[in-house]
Amino acid sequence: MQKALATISFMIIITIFFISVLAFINESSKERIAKNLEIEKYKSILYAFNILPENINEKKLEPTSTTSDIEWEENKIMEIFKNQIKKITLPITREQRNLLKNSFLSWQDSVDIYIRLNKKGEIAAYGFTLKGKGLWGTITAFGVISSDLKKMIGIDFTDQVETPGLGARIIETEFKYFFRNLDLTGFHDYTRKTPAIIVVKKKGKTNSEHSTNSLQAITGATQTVDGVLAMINTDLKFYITFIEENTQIITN
Amino acid sequence: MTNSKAIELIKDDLWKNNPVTVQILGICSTLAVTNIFLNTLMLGLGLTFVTAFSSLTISLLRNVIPTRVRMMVQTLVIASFVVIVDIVLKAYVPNISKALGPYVGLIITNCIIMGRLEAFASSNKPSMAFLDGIMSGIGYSYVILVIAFFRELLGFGTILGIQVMDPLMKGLGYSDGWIQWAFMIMAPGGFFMLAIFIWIANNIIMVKKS
Repeated sequence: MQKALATISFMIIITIFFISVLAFINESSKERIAKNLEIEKYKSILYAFNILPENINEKKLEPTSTTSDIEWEENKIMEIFKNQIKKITLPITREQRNLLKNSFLSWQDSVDIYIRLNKKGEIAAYGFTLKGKGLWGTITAFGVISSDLKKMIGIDFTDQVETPGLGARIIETEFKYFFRNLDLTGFHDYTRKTPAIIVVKKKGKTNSEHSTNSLQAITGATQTVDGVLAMINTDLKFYITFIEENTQIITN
Repeated sequence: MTNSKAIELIKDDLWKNNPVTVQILGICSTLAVTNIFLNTLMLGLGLTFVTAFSSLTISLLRNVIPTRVRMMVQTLVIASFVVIVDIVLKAYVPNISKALGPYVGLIITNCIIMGRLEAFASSNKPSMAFLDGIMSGIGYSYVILVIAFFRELLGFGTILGIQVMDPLMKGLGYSDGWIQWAFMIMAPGGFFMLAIFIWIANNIIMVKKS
């Protein structure tokens, strides 16, 4: 009995000790980690809006580079957000919810729409969160479309747990570049039966050079790319309709 | 700790009793993350840190840990150090933390760490246990780094993310450049590279013995 009590006491003491150490380290670094996450989020949003630091040419970035590799000055990020990006939250109506049938956004009552204003104060682009099913878990992205709702400006994948080197390559510049100037007119054809956005094995030109409705696949990451495609087709259809129906509220 | 014992321990962990090629431990992560060199390097460093400090801690507590709960205590210690690694990566190198994703947490399940704690740290002095932890980690790391180097080079045509094979092939007159060996990027590539490495290592050991 005494031995058992001694064992239990030892376990309790050592557990409390290690938990205390971890709690201290966690508390000491909590602010820094939260700041890192906030900066990463803002960098992702700016990348999707095609806003890059002045000295960065996206075409010259390494194909395997990610948004984290783009160096920003923190005060510059905050300045752009203050002057150019606005966020509004709008409720989703019951009729609009039908469009979210197969979407991971279907549980939400409202959505955040980020608006980029040009120098004249007019709306230049709309940004929003996209969510879909990857191979191993949920993929979350931030997508941006033009003010006429016919072209995609850009995308950044903010959260994913896909296989490093395979599905996780969706976060690389090479894959994301195909979303620039992606043709979204298929979403405006309400009689269309085929998906508005498709994936092809190899594209001769990027969409920036010649706008099409196709993306280039990633070798060995078929299921991840299929998940991204399903997410784009479902969520963009919702957002385009949603923004059209809420244009007056947004512009006010 | 005598010098000769330390040297013997180093030789053992790096080659004669290498955790991957001889003890066949840590295979899961060897197959999972060795398709990109930089990710592999960070994982190797993380594992070395966790193994070394877990071994040191268990060795310091070896005379007070009740036998019945020794594995629970070992798991607690390993998990604590892995959480520390995860927090430090998130705070100071968030890019790497993001790239490694769930694989940092999986260090807890790497059998090399538990194996060394049970086989060595719980019955040796702290200095030797710490050295064993470092050398086991390095022994594991260099194996996975060699595998990662070839998998990234043949699979992506890159070294540390920099494209080398494509300009090389184009320079040699192949207009299509480097055609990626998709097989090398996927899990079977890891199986084959690991098997080849173990085969070469064991053959060298056999030749030396004979």
